[in-house]
Amino acid sequence: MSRPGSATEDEFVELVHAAWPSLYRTAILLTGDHGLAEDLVQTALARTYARWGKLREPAAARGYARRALVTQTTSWYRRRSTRNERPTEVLPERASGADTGTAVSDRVDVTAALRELPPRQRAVIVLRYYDDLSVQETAEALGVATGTVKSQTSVALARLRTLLGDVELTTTAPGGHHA
Amino acid sequence: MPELSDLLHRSVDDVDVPRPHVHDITAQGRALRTRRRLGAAVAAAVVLGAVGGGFALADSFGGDRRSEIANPTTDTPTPYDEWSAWSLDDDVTIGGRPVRLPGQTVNLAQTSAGVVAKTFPGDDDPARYVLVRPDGSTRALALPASVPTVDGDIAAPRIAWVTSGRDVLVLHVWDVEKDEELARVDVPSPGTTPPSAGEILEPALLDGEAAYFQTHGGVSRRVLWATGEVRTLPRPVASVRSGVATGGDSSGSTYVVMDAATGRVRRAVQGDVIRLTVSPDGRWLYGSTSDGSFVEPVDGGKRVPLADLSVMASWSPGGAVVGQKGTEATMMRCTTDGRCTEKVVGEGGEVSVLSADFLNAG
Repeated sequence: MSRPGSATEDEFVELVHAAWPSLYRTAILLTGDHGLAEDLVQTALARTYARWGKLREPAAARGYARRALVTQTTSWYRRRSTRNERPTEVLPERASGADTGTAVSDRVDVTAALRELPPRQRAVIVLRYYDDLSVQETAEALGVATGTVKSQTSVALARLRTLLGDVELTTTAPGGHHA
Repeated sequence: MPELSDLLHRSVDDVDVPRPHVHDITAQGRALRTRRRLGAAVAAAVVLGAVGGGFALADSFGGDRRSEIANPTTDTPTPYDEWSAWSLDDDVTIGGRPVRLPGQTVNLAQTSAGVVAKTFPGDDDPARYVLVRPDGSTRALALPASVPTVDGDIAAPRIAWVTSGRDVLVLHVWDVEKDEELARVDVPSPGTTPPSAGEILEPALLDGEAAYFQTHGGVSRRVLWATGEVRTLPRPVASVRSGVATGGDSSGSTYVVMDAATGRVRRAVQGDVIRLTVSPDGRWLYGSTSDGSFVEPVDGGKRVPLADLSVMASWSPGGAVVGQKGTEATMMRCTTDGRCTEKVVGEGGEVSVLSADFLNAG
């Protein structure tokens, strides 16, 4: 699909294959939905391609793609309306793991708990504790202040601990600082 | 004791990952790139036409809504009109005047009478609502502590919110000067349940005689609060001022500008827009993308970038965009011609300023 002799196109194809799995898994955690995750990652990478001329550095391109993914996801939730998406005290009756493609009954269903968080808090948790981003990197990915990331992390962790009941979580933030 | 990071990895690391459709991705990317170039060309053509032909673009929304920025009025704007209000640490600043409120402020709803601050005086105390007037005086409002987040009418001394019951949402409208309820309208919402632990974080959006919110299942409603008339709109309203609204299109992938009364789409707004709000006079849009913020006319035209301005900026009553400069202890006030002035609000270092009309959910 790449034009012969086009290093730019070839590099982009390499980026897609290298970044797709991790972006897809991030999107699964953000949305809990396979089809939506695939659509969002595809669009995020398409936006990266549209900017490819300015993003030749692979690390920068990956960062842009991740930011585009988070932006797409946040935007999707915002437009879909989160008015009726309220925090609850307990998980739904069936904490389904079906959307993640796993059926390990003895596993803490953290994905179901994640889905009970507002989208922004969910994104903060996923970026910090799955993608191992620092507070600053998370703030840049979300386009918010670092103070907001810290406060949202604190609230989200408290909510997760409530939702997961008697499961005690430990959290080691990137850089070794306990949250 | 499980590590959260390990739990997250174990939850998805063994998920079957589909193969990427590289061809589709690049095709979609090319289309985006083409659309971006076309958009720039169209915007340039509009500007050239306006300048070369010496005509003004007609206001397709009608009326005589003047922008204080584009067409300065003879009225002298107050500091509140110009700089709105924000909160940093324990202080609320309104029109440049600091006001100390007890506890943490989590929301500032703009009204014509000042901002209504939602505060938590202590960790275990219920929320309190306080009207902070432009002169710095305050008045504790008699709203119940259970009231969730409110939205203000930037052109009137009113706020609104919704509460939920079984199969119903209730719209409340409150006069903040008289400190009394003006209206309460029950709106059927099959499937809605009373709040248990949380609260409805998004209020009804208030614009003159109408309020906008969604019922259970995502049905978008426009309610005339004085008469109780309820109308269904084809899509959710994200921002509304002076009868002009923004919201997502039917696919949810693009923002549109629409007539707030009917939901009729006027135009789509190009770009990967995260947030799009309408100016108080209904003539301008403030938008944010992953590449930065901008203002542009509601009817389309030249998009003016606003460098350094935080995504979390809001329109002031006088029609400027006010927000934090990145994460610095500096507030920016940007007019629709792209000119910005700055005001230092702290002693340096990174700070987190709460702009008006935003909710600090943390």
